[in-house]
Amino acid sequence: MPVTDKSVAASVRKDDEERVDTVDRWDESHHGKGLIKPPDQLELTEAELKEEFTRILTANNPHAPANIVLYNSKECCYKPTVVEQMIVHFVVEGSLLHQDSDEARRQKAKGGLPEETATFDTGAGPDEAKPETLDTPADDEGGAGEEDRPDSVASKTNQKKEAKVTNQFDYSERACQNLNNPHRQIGCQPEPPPRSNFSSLANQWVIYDAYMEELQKQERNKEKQKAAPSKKDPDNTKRAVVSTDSHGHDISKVRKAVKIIERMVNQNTFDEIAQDFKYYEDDSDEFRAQEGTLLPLWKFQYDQAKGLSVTALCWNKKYQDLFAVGMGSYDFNKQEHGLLVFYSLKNTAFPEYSYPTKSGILCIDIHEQHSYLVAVGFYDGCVAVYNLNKEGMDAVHKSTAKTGKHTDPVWQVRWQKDDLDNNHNFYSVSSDGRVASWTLVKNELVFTDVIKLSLNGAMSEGTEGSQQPIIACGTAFDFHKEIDYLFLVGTGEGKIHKCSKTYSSHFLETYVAHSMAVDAVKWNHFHPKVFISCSSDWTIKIWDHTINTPIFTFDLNAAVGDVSWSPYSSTVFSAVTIDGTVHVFDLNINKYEAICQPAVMAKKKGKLTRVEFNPIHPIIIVGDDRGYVTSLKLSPNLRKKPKAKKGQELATGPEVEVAKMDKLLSLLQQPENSTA
Amino acid sequence: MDLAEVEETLKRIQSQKGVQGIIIVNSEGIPVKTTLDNSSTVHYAGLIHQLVMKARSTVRDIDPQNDLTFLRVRSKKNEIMIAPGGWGFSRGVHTHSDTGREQHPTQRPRRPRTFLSGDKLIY
Repeated sequence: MPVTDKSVAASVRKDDEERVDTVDRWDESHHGKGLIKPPDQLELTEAELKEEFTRILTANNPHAPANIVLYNSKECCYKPTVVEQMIVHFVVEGSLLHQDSDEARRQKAKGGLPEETATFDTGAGPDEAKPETLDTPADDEGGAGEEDRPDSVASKTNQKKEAKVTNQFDYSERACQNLNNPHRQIGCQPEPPPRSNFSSLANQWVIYDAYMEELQKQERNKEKQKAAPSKKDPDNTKRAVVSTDSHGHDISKVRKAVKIIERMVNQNTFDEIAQDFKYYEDDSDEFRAQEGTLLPLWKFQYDQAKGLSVTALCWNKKYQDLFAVGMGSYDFNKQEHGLLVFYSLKNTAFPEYSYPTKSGILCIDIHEQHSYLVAVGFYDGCVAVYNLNKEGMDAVHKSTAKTGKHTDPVWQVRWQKDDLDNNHNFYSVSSDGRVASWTLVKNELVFTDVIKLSLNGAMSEGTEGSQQPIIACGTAFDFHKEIDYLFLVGTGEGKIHKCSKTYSSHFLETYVAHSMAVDAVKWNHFHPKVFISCSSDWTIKIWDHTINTPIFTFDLNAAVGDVSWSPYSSTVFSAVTIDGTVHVFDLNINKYEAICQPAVMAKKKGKLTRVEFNPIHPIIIVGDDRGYVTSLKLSPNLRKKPKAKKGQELATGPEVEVAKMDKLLSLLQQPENSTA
Repeated sequence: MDLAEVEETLKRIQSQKGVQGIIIVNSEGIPVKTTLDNSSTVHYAGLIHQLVMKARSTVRDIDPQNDLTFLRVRSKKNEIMIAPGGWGFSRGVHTHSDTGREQHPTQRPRRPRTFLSGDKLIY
C-alpha cells in the first residue's frame, strides 16, 4: 500500500521537516507514549523513507479520456479530438445583476422614479429608494407601498404609469361571474318544393334530334324575321297554315306508314313474282341456241280504266320502278275521257298517282332530269304539263285554243333540254301537220311553230303564191340522242322526214318509208346513224340516216303498234302487233327473224298497243287496248352481250354497241357493193 | 283529302287476301284505329310498342341520320308487319301459307307457270 502524501515540488524537504517538526512536536506532546504504528503499516527502510516522489499538480482532468478519436470524413481517417478538461464542481445561482443590464435598468427605473420624485420632496427618499431597489421584492413592496402615496401625487405630474407587481402574499384577485343566458335555438322549415323523379335516355340519336330541332327553330326564327317587315295579313294566314300543318303532319305520317304497309302486303302477296323478277333466269336458254323467252310478271290494271286502251307508256328515268301509262282511245267514234296513271313496281295492285282527264291521252313523256314533270298530248289537240309534286288533279299548264293548241290529235310529245333561259320546253307533233315547240315561261305555256309538214315538201313562205299546200299529218317523231337539233318526223302518208330545229322551211331529207301511216320512229340509243320505224303496213324498217333505203326490213304479218330499242344493246329491239304478239329481235344473232315471238294476248281478245323497255331492269312493259299493262321478263338469250374471244377482255359500253352495229352495217353493205 | 286517301288505302289493304287486321297506333302506344277486336288490339299495341321503340333506338343509335322504315316479325303461323311513321305507326297482321319460306329463293318451289315463246299463251 503506497503512501500518498501531497507535497509541493519546491519545498519537499521543508514540508518534511515541518511534518517532522509537527510530528516531533506531536511526538513531543505525546512523548511519553512513543510512536504508535498501525499494525498493517508498511515497513520501509530509511532509505526508502527518504525517497523522493515527484507529484505534479496540473490543471488537467485526470479522468478525462485522452484518446477519443473521431472519424473525419474529409480525410478519411480517425483524428484525435480535443476533450474538455474542465470539471465544474459547484454552481450557485445568485441574484446579482449587472447594473447595465436590462433588468437592472428596469428596476432602477422603478426605483428611480420615486428616487426622482423624492428628490423634489425629501432628500432622504432616494437614499432609501436606492437600497430598496436592490433589495428583495418583498421589501420593495413595502417600500413601494409607502412611496406609492407620494408617487400617486407625483404621478399626476408625471404621466407615466407604474405597473403594480403582484406578489404571492398580498395579492388577491376578485372576480365575479354573471349569469349566462341559456342558449335557445329557433328555426323554421318551409314546405319543401314538390319533387318529381325524372329519368331519360340520352342516346346518340336523342342528342342528334335535339340539335336538329334547335337548328330548325333557328331557321324558322330567321324566316319570321325576314317576313316580319311584310304585311300582317300574310302572317295571320301563315299562322293558320302552321297549325294545320302540324295537324296535317299526323295524318301524313300515318299516310306514309299506311303506304308502306300496303307495299309490304303486296310484296307478300306477289312474293313469288317479285322473286322471279329479281332472281329468276331461264336455264333452258342454254339449250335453245338462238331463241329466248319472256316470262310474264305482274299485270297492272285499274278499275277506272275499264274501256280505255293504253296509248302511251313511259318509264321514269330517275326512279326506275315508276312508269306512266296514258290511257285513251284510238277509236275515232268512241272518244271518252282519258286517264294518266303512274304505277310503281313496289305496289303492283294500285297506282301511285292517277289523273283523270277530259280527253283521251295519246302520248306522254317524263322529263329526264325533273322527273315530276310530265308532258301529255291529248286527242283533242291540247298539250298539258302535269307536276307530280303538286297536289290536285289538274294539269299545271294546259294549252287552249287561244294559246295555239293543235287542231288534230297530238301524237307525240318530247321534252327537250332547257333552253337558254333555263325554261323547260318540249315538242309536239300532231296530225294537223305542225311540229310545235312549247316553252314553260313562268306560268304560261308559250308555243312556237317549228315546222309545217306538207306533202310537197316544206313550204317557204309566200313562194308558192296561190297554191294551197296540202298539209301532211305528223304521227311520230323522235329527236336524235346526241345531235340536238336533228329529229325525224313520221307522217301519216308513210314518209319520214329528217328535219332540223333551225331550218323551218326545209327538210334535210325525206325517206319513203311505208305505205301506211308511220306509227313510231325511234333513233338507236347507241349508234348515231341508225333509226327504226314501224307502220300499220305490217313492216318494221331499220335505216341509216345517210342512206335513202332501209337497211333491214321485217314483215310481221300484222299491223305493228309500236317498236322500241333496248337500252342495253344496240342490236336488240322489240315490237308489238295487233294480233297480241310481242316480237323481240336481236340483229346480232338473227338478222331475219325475231328470236322470240310469244303471244301475250289471244288474237280475238285484244291488240297490243305499246311496248317499252325498262332502263335498268331486264323487263318490258306491254300495253294493250283493254287497259292492261303486262310486264314481262327477258330471258338471258335476249340480253346477250358479245362473247369475248379467248384472251380478250369483255368490253362494255356504248362504243362496243356502236361497233357491233357498224359491223352489221358493213356486212350488209359489202354484199351490196359486191352485187353492184 | 288526305284522310280520304288514307281510308281508301286501309280499305284496300284490308281487302287483300290473308290480311287479318290493321291497327293504327299513336306515338304513345295507344291504338287510334283498328279493325280487330278490342282485347287483341290492346294486347298487340302494348307488346309491339316496346319492340318498335327498341328497334328504332337501335337503328338510330348506330347512325342518328338513319331511321327505321319497317319491321317484319314472321312466325310459324302468321306475320306481323310494322311501319313506323314518326307520329304513329300502323300494323298489319297477315297470315300466309308457309310453303318452304326458309329455303333459298332459287331453290324453293315456284308457282307453276308457262313460259312464253313461240305460240304459247298465258291467258
